[in-house]
Amino acid sequence: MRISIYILLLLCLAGQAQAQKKDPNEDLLSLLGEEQTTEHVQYAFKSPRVINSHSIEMLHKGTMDLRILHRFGPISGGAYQLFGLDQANMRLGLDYGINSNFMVGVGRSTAKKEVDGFVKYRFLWQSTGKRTMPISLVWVSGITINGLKDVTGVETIPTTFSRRLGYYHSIIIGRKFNERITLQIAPTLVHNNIVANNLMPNDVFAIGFGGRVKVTKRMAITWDYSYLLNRFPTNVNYNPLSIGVDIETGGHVFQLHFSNATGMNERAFITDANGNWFKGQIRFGFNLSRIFQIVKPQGL
Amino acid sequence: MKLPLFLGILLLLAVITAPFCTREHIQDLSGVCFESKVLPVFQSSCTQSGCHNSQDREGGYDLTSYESIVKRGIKPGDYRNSNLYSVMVSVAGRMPPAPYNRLSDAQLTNVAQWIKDGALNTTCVDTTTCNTTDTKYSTAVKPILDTYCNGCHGTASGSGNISYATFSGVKATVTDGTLLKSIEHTGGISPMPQNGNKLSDCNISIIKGWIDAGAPNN
Repeated sequence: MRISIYILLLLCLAGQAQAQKKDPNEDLLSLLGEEQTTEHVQYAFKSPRVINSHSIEMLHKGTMDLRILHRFGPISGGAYQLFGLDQANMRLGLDYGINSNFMVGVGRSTAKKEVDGFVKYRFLWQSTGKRTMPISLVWVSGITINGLKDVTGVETIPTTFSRRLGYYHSIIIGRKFNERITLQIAPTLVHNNIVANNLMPNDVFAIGFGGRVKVTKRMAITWDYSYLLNRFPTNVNYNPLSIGVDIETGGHVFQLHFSNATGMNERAFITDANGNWFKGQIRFGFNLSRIFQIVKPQGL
Repeated sequence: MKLPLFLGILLLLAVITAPFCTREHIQDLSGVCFESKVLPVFQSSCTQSGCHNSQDREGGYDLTSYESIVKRGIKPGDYRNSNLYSVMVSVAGRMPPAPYNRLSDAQLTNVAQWIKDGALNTTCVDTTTCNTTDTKYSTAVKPILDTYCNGCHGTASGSGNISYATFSGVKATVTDGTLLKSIEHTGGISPMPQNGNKLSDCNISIIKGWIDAGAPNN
């Protein structure tokens, strides 16, 4: 499995290298007086995450995104638990845009005291004009480190570093169809180094379906669903589904949503136990995103 | 320059993490006992009147005994391609059908592992000594009801107007004495579990102990 990922990666590399070779000529042509320019599609999503999943959106060069994520308890807890607000899971994250097509990020979740880190690269950027590109294609690879003292809970299986680890890889293909609608599809592989029992697959394949519909200039409805192909025991009710609204208020993006997932990294929300929407096992949650300009953009 | 940077970092990470990529599991479930873990699932959840018992044989399936269960829909060693397993997890046409509950993850795991082990007619000597000191509803009684009764009685409209979906439904059958009469086969009432073996003496004494303590919801 790992080998095939690398091969896939190398294929993407080769394709991209060829595509890039053409660029200098095009730049020269444009200098010769061709007025048509390439216009990249901006703001396909309000944030680099749809809700839980990564989106085709990237951070701008030199910007840092401080992300504070909360997932509350099940709303079925009723008024006594203030519909889940008495219990909270959180993830504190920092993402950074190294350039317009490349970002990295780290985060730490309270669940499993898990640290996660990722690299995210945009191979193709949807554009119009001279170079027309109908879609954006983004690659994300991440690693998660379970921080519990005892990750197995079994004395005979001691906790080692490798038993703490999980990985995820995702290719996100998306398109901003118009000012309002953006859709994306994301084949994802999650690998857990250790799973609960021998029937559970270490490699879980999922296909993410995310999107947003902009309602007003500052507000959008978003959804984020992952269909798991080989979960054990198979149960579509546990596939993570989140539905929410994005609200933008100058510099902040609030993502408020309801979800059956508690996890806040790909490994956790795809492979850990989720609730069942049909049994009301859903939770309120929010992502708070604050963008800081660390490096001043050139030419301003 | 940007792309090589990304690929360089990715390759570096891949090289660093490659030695740490393993595939392990904590628990090995192989060796599931058919008699005590799998047969009750079929008997309790599939053989109610009008369904897959020896009389009705709905759809040609009789799921009351080992011989009749393995006759159709089981591919030993391959649970994902065994029809009996796949209908239990399918979305459309799930078995047991609504309003009956979907089998629990623990029940599905037992069925899958049993097929994976070769779908053998394994019986097992119960090596665990009968522990009747724990007669709490939540930890001792409820699991027995879940295994042997709630296939039929676990929904709000349970078979024979007996519903164990809530504690009050269980309590009602304690109060009128039908729970004990039915599992002890003392007559005057349908012996339970229907189509299945009588509960073990151990399980009956646990339920008795709980009833003697006043059948509390603990």
